[in-house]
Amino acid sequence: MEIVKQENGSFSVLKLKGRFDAHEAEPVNTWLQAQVEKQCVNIIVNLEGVNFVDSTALSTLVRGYKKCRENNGTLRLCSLQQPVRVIFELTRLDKAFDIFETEEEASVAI
Amino acid sequence: MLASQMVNSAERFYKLASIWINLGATQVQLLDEDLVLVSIPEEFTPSKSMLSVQSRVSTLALRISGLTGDAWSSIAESMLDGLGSLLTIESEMKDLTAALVETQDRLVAIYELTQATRRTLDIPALMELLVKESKTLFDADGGLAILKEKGQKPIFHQISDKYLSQTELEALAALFHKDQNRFVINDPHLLPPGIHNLMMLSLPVRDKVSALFGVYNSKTDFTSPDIKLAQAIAGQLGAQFENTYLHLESLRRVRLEAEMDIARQVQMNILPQNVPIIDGLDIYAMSAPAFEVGGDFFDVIERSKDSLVLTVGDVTGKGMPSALLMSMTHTVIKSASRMMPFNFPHQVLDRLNFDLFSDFSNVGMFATVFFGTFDRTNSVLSFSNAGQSPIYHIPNGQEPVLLEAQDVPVGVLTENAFSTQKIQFSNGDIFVIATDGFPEARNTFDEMFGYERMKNSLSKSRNLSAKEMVESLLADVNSFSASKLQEDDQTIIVVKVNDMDRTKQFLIPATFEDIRIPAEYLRALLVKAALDESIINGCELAVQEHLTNLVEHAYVGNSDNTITINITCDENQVMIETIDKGKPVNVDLSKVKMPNPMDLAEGGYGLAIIQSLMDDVTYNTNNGRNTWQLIKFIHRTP
Repeated sequence: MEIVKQENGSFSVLKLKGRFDAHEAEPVNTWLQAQVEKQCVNIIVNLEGVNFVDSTALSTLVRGYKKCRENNGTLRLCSLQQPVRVIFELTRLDKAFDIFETEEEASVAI
Repeated sequence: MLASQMVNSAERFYKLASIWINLGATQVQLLDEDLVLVSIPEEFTPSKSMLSVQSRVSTLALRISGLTGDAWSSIAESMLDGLGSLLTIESEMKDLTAALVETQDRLVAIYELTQATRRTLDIPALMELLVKESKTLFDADGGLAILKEKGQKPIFHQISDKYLSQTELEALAALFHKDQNRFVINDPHLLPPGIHNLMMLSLPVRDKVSALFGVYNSKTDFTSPDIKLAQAIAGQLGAQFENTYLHLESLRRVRLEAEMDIARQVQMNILPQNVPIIDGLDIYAMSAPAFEVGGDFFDVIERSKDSLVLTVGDVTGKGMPSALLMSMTHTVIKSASRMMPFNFPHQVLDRLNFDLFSDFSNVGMFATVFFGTFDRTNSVLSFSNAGQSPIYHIPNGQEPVLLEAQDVPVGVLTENAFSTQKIQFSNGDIFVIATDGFPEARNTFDEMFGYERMKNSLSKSRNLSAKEMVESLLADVNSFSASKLQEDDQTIIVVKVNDMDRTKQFLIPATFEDIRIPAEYLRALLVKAALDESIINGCELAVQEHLTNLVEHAYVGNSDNTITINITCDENQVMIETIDKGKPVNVDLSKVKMPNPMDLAEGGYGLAIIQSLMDDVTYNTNNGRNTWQLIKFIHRTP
């Protein structure tokens, strides 16, 4: 999996690509925790290039999301492929996360 | 004896004499057997009266001039007895002291000899030390040692001014053997010229070794204390020789073991380390030699995309000789099957027999060999069986059928007499090729495991993977033979024929990385089967979730463990079966619920995802084996 880190306005952006599963969850978790420690608590995870997520990936995102909120920030998701969206729907986590169609929308939403 | 003692005690006598002089004696003389020892005064003064008293306890006598009468005579007698006793005791004490000093000297000498030899673990050096030291110890001009190991030439060692010839030494050794253990000859007439006395002893070493040592031409004749000392030396040195032999033997054994170890490694490397992984076939093969090296061999070679070669053989006998012939046999078969200018398996055995017949018959050995080729295009096994047993065909859903060997072993007949048979395989069929080490395993009552038990074991484990079938058989054989050691090599190949396109087995280490392999394979398989995208995605996710659970919970991240995964896809369903040996799961599957999203739970999704994606999830655990089945029904739209 490829992990690209960018800045977008007041957001730190994590762009993932490929298969986001138990094997890849740890580096993403490490990155998210590091951001929170740096007080960069407004994060967008761009899943445009991700074709597969599993529950470990979901747990990682949930953990990051909670940390950001505890620090008065937020973690937004954008650009989900259909199979990935299905998994969010299956676990109903689509109800818990703020999910946007594009990174642009995620970065400007209030 | 007493006379010499008296010389040292003269002072004492003067005192006694002066008492007599004071009493009126003119002269006092002490005699030993008529010899005058002391006379006071020295010059003889004739006297009319003289007392002459002979001691009752010694040879001493007293002459006192100038005194006479029974009274004086009685006193003189008592005095003389007292003096005699004193001198005798003094003399004995002196002898004892001398003997003690000598004994001490000898003990020190033995101690030094023992110390010197203890550092030596070399037979010739020990002999040299023994001869040198004992020669000094007995103050002899010559020392010798003869050592003879059974079946070997004797070794001689001598230090002397007068060397004995080998013939003379052998003659002495022969003489010695008539009078076991020891002898002393102090008569020069009985000895070779130039030798005037000799003492010879044997060292108490092991049966297969006779060791003698001796000293000769000592200044004084050999006495019984000398023999005692020599026996002590023999005892000490014998033990040291024995130690040295043990040391040399253990060195030899270590060397031999190292060589055997290399031989075993070479042999293990000859046999395939792992079998090829072939779609549609579940193959497992193993060979366990009973000794360091064995006579069994096997091979599983993927000759081409569509052809697989299976070989199992057993060279008669055990250990090194059969291992050597096994290597040759294996090589001939391997090259014959690799190049394979032959169309039929029996031609390979013909070739083998032609090449190795004389090698086998020269040493009176032979080999049983199964050689088969499996054609994957039509699932036909062609094989030739030269006396190899047992071979089982287990048709799908039926009991194992024992296939008798149709030909005699290789190396028995000069003419080529091998034939080829064919078996058509169907999906689910199992083929087992083994050596007699399994059925002929014995228990402590000398009963054999037998073909029936082997058949039952295979029948019982038929639904397991090939590897597990072998493990189950080994467990059955081991529990039957209990504490009895494996007597014969055990070699086996199990081939399970699965549906080429729709069935796949994986054996993976329990890591997050490795579980992707079956997950991604499943996707490819289902894509090929043209199933709905939602089913494909769902099945892939379910497998991923399930295997993640096994890695995380059953094995708690311990990646030394493996998971067996069977993926089957037919007209009606996709079935994923996993077998692990991790911690059993204690979960009520009917009570699994998806966490509430608003709780933002960081876990607990896996099993809920699996259950919502799959139509049937079952779990059971038995004997440390956990089996999960995940099934997705397929409802094809016409």
